[in-house]
Parts: sequence; structure tokens; C-alpha cells
Amino acid sequence: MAIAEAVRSPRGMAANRSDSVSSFVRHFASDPNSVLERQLCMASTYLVSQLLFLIPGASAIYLKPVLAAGALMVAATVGAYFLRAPAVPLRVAMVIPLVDILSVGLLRAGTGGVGSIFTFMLVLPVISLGVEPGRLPMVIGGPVTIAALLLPVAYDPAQVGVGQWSRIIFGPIILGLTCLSVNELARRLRSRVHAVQRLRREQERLLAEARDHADASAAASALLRESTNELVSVIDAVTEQAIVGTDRTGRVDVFNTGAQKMLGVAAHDAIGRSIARFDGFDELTDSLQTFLTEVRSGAPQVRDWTYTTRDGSELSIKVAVTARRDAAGDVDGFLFVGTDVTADREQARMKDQFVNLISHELRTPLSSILGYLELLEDDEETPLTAEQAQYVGTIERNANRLLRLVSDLLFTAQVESGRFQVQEQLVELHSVVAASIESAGPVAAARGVTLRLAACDDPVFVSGDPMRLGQAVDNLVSNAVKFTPAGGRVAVTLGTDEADGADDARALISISDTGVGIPADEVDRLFSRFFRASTASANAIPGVGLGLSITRAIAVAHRGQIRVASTVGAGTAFTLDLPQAGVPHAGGSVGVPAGLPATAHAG
Amino acid sequence: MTEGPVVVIADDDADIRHLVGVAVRRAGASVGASVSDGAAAWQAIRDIGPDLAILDVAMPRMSGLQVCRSVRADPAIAGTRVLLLSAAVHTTAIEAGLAAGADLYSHKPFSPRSLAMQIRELLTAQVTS
Repeated sequence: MAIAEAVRSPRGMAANRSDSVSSFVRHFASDPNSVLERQLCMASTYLVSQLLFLIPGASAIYLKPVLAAGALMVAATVGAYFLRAPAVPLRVAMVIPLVDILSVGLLRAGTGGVGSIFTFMLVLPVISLGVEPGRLPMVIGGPVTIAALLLPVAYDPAQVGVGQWSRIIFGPIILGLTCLSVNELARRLRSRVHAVQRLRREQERLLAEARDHADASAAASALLRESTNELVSVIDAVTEQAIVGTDRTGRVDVFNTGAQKMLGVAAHDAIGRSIARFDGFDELTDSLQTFLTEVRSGAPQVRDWTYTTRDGSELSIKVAVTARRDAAGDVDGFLFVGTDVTADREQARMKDQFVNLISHELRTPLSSILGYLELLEDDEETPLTAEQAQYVGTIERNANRLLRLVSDLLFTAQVESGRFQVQEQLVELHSVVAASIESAGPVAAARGVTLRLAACDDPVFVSGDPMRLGQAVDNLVSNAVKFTPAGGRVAVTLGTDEADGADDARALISISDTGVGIPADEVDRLFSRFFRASTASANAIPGVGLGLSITRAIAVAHRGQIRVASTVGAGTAFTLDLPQAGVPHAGGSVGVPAGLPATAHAG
Repeated sequence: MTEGPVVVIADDDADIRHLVGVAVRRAGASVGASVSDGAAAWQAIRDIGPDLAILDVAMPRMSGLQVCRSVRADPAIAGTRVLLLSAAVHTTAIEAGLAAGADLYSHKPFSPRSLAMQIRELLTAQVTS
């Protein structure tokens, strides 16, 4: 039954297969239950054999062996029953058929010797031995069977007649071959069972793996759904920026709340539409394809977009365009993030207008003040008294101070709005530095500060605006003079640094003083607009804090930089570091001023 | 022409006009007209045909640049010297002024002494040319 089921099972349902396989395996492995089943079979046969004594002519010749056989059979059956205990090793099961064989031997000895019909009962325990795994049961079973066959001879040697010996020899051989065949069959069956078991384990492992994968995939898709929802909610929470996503062809597939609000288009009207069909989009790009190719190739593009809303008002929108990439890193769309800068632009325009107006309105009266003061000073018919000349000088000095402040504010506004551009020409720095020293000379002399210039012999050229460069050096020199107490020194040097090769040659102007110095924690803020060092305030040195921010703006606009090193109480050194320009060809438009003083003294 | 060279002055600020007038007289020239807007300046230049026009850049009705361009475009008066006077100091403003055809671009505030010198130079250049 169990075998038949096992053979059928591969075509049956998976669950049935699993059950039938296990019952089949249970039956054919040497498990104690099947040993008991076989023993009960044997015991039943034994009981039936006892009925043969009722047949006339069949009788026990010797009573003792027959009783001993019965006792062994009972012992084997009881033993098979107890073998089911879990502690008993499976190997012990082979003892049962061995006892059975001895029992049959004794039965034959007691009932008629070698001719006993009970010889056939040996077949059952021999098969049982053959079913046991391995050859050991057969090796032990062989001699035991021979002994069982020889037992009747031991009781009655007279029974051995002609032909009986042959039975004694052939009986074990046939039984042995039967046992061997059964053993081989059982072995093959077991190996198949093991193969089936292995397959089943493999199948279970694969099933478990598949279940794990399914679980992981479900978890991943839940996570993905969650993060998608989160992303959508984040994108929609952006209400002041328009976020528009498109596929590779420019078809809109993301249109956030900010975009709907800014552009006045509902999401359902925008989704699926080409981005190129939005008003004024052609301003962003001449050709969508060319533009997108640029985006695809690298850095995000930032463009200005003038968009006319449905009510006719024009918006200035700054649009940053980036490429969207799939998991493989290939471009699969574009993201347009727009910021409405209409108000900012308007504010900047009004500020520019205001600055220009103020600058004009302040310069005009200052022009009159300074112009008429000069007329007073120049009046030859009624010259000023010494006292009057002093008063006029004071007015003039203050009017000039006011004028510088206006110019600085105007320049700062220009830098801030990004409208400051250097009109470049070739500039020789000796003349620039010398002019600054000359203009700072009188103030330095009045304050008792020594002002020195040490310049290299060769001309130093930079590309830039001579007026602005002069302004930068003026600021640094006049600051140095202003912040140095009487008796101090201000040294200006002009040199070059070609350490990194001719292509990266630098022009260096450094201005060092023995002044009050700048606290280390203030150095970072030194170049901020309207920042004044604590040492400046503490020493009541006048100023509004624009000079250094202007100087740095000029340095940066000339692709240069400005460095500072300072010690409170010891002094400060500023270095203006500019890229050198190539030396002009002979007969070029810029000449080197001849006879420049290598060192200028003031005071 | 016993009075010497004639100059037209245009500036919307009366004090500046007066100051420029002083410089003009110191340069040995006479003030043909002193007006407060660009349109009046253009009118005066066409009426008088001065040797030199000193124009403020930022003026009502017509800017100094527009007047300058108009002068250069009119063959009858195209030879008039033009000096632009402006409060703007950016290089771009100066370039715009020279591009409009001005002979000289001067900044406000100005020194009357230097302006007189510039005027004299401009007028001398005209006499020799």
C-alpha cells in the first residue's frame, strides 16, 4: 500500500504527496513500529504453524525444542514491542529476526527434523534481515540460519539420510541469495527515498526563500509607496516655488501646488501637456531640444522666464532646470523649479533708481559748494584773510568728505546689485601706488606718521580699471595712516610672485603699519559693509565701515584677493593680490612712467 | 566777433549754471545762452550757433546725450564743440557720452579753475582746426 501510494504520489496534490512520502519513508526505514508489525506477522505465522499439530501424523517428536521455540517467539514479539522506546538504538532491531530464525530452527528440531514443513517459515525473518540496512545483519544472519538448519541434526543425527545434506547446503544458499536480493532492493529503495527526501528539503528551502523574497518585496513596495507619498506631500507643501517635472520629451507629469498658484493653471490642465506650450517658454530656450541637451550634459541651467498670467500681468520667474535620472543614472526627464522674482526685481529696480537719484541730488549741491569755495579762494580782487582761508579750508575738507561718502555708498550699491563691472585696460602699478602715496602724504605728515614705498624695479602690469585700483590702494594706505599713532610707520611695497610659474604670476601690493591692530575674532567680519573694528571705535577713528568692503569688491572684480594679518597693538598688514597681465609689446599703448621714485618719504 | 568765442550753457541747476558761466568768462569766452533744459539748449544752439556747448547729462525734456547726438547729426552746426558735464562716474556713462559725439566728458563736482582750462583748450583746438 505505502509503496503504491509513493509511486502514485508525484502526480498527486502537493499536500498528499508530502503525507504519502513520509508514510512510505516511515515504513521502509528501520523504524521500531515496522519491526513490530513484521514480528506480529511472524508470530501469527507461528501460531498458525501450531495448528498443524492438529493434522493427523504431524506431531511434536521432541517437546522441549518446540516449547523453547514458542518461548523465543514470545520473547522476540515482546522485544519488538519494547524496541519502540526512543532510547533503543535502531541497529538492535536486527536481533528480532535472528531470534525468530533460532525459534524456527528449534521448531523444526522438535517436529520432524530436516524434513519439517516449517523450514519455509525461515523466509520471513530472512527477508526482515535483508530489509535491515547494510551487510552486517546478513553476515550475522548467515551462520545463525545454518545453525538453525543444523539443529534437527543435533537432536537426531539419524535423520541425516541421503539427499538431506544437499538440503542443508542449498537451503542457506537460497535463503542467502533471497536475503541479498531483498537487501539490494531495500538499499535502492532507501537511496531513492533519500533522494526524494533531499529533493523535498530543497523544495522546502526554495519555497521558504520564495516566501522571504515575497515578504521583502512587499515590504519594499510598502516603503516605496510611503516615500512616494511623502515626496508628493513635500512637493505639494512647496507653495511659493513652482515645481514642474516632465518626461524626456518635455511632457509634464509633476505640477505642484506652487506651480498651480504661480502660473494660474490647474494641475489637471497641465499634466500631460508639453512644457514648451507654456506662455513665453521660448524665452527660456530657442529650441527645447537643444536646451534639454545642455541640461542632460551637465550642470543645472538657471534662466529667466517672463510669464504672462491669464489676467495679463507679467511675472519674472527664475527657473532652475535639472535632469531627472532613473536608477541606472540615465536621464528620464527634467525638473523645472521656478521662483517668482517679480517683486525682487521691482525692488532692485526701485533701489537702483533711488540710489541714482540720491547720488545725483547729493552731488549737485556738493558741486556748488566746492565750486563756489574755490571761487572764494581764487578771488584775487578781495583775497581772504588768513582766518577766512582757514574756515574755507575746513568747509572744503568736510564737503570733500561728504562727497567721498556719497561715492562710496553709490559704489557699494553698484557692487551689491551686481552692476559693478571692471572696464579693463592694461595698468602699470608703480604709477597707481605712487599716486596713492602722494595723496596720503600730507595727512601722514600732519599726523607724524612715516610713509615709505619700496617697489621692485621692473614694471608690474595688471589688467583692470586704473581709477578703481587707485581707489583700492588709496583706501588701504589712508586706513593705515589713519590707524597708526604719531611716530608710527606705514610701509607700502610693490612686488611680484611668480612661484607658480609665469602663467599664474601675481602682482602683490602690501601695506603694513605699526598701528592699533585688529582683534583676531573681528578679522573675518572686517570686509563686511559698515563693520568697524572695536579698535577703531575705541580710538575714535572716524569712518563708516565701507572702505574695506569696497576694496575687496575691487580686488574680486579684478580676479584678485585681499589678505590681512594683524596683531593688536603691533600693527596690521594688508596684501592686495592680483593676477599679473602679460607685458605689452614694445610700442604698446601703456608706457612705463619714467623716473618713478623707488622710495617716497613723507613726514 | 569782437566778443570772442560764444558758449551755450545748459544745466537744470541755476547755481551750477552760474558757476559754469564764471569758468567760461575766465576762459575768455562769453555766455551766449544759459538754459535749464535740453530742449531749450537744442533751440539755443541752433539759434546762436555757438563755438562750444556745455551740457549737463541729466536734464529735463532732452538729455545732454540727446542734444549732443542732435548737434552731430545737423551738418549746419555739426562743428560745435560739446563738453558733457555729469554726476555719473561709471566708465559706461563716460563711454556713452563720448559715443554720442562729445569732445570732452567732465565730472561733477568740478573745479571752476580746471573747467576754465578745459574750455580754453577746447576753444583753442577749434580755432586751430
